[in-house]
Amino acid sequence: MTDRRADTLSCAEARALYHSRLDGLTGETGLEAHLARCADCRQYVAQMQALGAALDHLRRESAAVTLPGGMTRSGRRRWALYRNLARVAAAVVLVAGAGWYLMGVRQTGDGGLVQRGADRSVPATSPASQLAEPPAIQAASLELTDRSASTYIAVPRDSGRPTVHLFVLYPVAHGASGGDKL
Amino acid sequence: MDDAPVETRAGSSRASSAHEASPDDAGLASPSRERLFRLAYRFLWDPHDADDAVQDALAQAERSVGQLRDPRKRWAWLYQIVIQRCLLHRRQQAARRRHVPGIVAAQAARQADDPPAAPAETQELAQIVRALIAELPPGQRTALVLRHLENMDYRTIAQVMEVTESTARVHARDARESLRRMMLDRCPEWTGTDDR
Repeated sequence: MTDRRADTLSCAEARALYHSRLDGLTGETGLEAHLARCADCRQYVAQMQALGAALDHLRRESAAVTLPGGMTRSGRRRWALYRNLARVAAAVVLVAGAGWYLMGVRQTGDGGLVQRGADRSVPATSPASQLAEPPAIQAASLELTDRSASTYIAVPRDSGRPTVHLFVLYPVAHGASGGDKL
Repeated sequence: MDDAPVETRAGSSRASSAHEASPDDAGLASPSRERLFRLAYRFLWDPHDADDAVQDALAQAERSVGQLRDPRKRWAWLYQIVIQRCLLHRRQQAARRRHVPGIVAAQAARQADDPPAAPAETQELAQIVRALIAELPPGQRTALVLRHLENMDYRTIAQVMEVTESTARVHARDARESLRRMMLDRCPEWTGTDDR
């Protein structure tokens, strides 16, 4: 059993001695006698030992880590630069394409849009009204390769807009006043 | 894995050999790239951040090689630059977190709702300690990492930190005390023994 008279240390002195022992500076200094008497310092030592074990665990764990493979930082920076350049180039192409498209269209007084150079505007009305009054085709000349069909899709050549009209075509006999429906 | 010693301009031109031992640099071997990486990892705990920190440190060493007053202390100087880069990285990370109040508020709310239980296993405690080390003041953190994770002796630590050996001991001791205090702040029931 511990001799109480042998313990002349205060808790602060005992803890300082404990740290010195951890650092390998002191040997037997009466620390054991103090620990046998003082429950607080025993708990302090237990906590320090637990922290020491945790630090040992971290040291072993980190000793196993290896340099990451793959791209280095400079490589990642270069890749990010190329990626951003590609994004900027894509944005420029999009803006230039939209500008090129819009440059070919001018606005009319009634709010409609007309292809620059065309003589008929496309009114800014609903698609239904456009169906009710289909635009006339002036002097269209089509060469049909399949005469069995009666309905064709014709896209006016002078239209820059993505508008598709359906036309039913009638053959016209040369020298005749009218034509028969197909 | 490249484990060759890192050769700085100071190491190649001012000394006859990279492995030459000098009285002032005796505690530090010529550090391999991997060793510097591991040192950085023990500060940052992220392999990519550690790799970046080492690369930045080596670039900085090349740029500022003229500031190396004593070529015999080149390895301590190199360690020092790596540590500085790591501490700077940590500060920048902390600043970024401060600028995202939502994250801080969510963490505070989580802690208030669910105070952590005392860790029962060393592995569990180690993960908490790892986070707490990041909160230590730079001097204590450096001394603790070099002493307990890098396993350096105090003479070498003093060289790297450019302090006396006794100051290095005080830093390490204060770091252990701070860790214990922070653990008790976080888990008041923590006794250090597995009594759950």
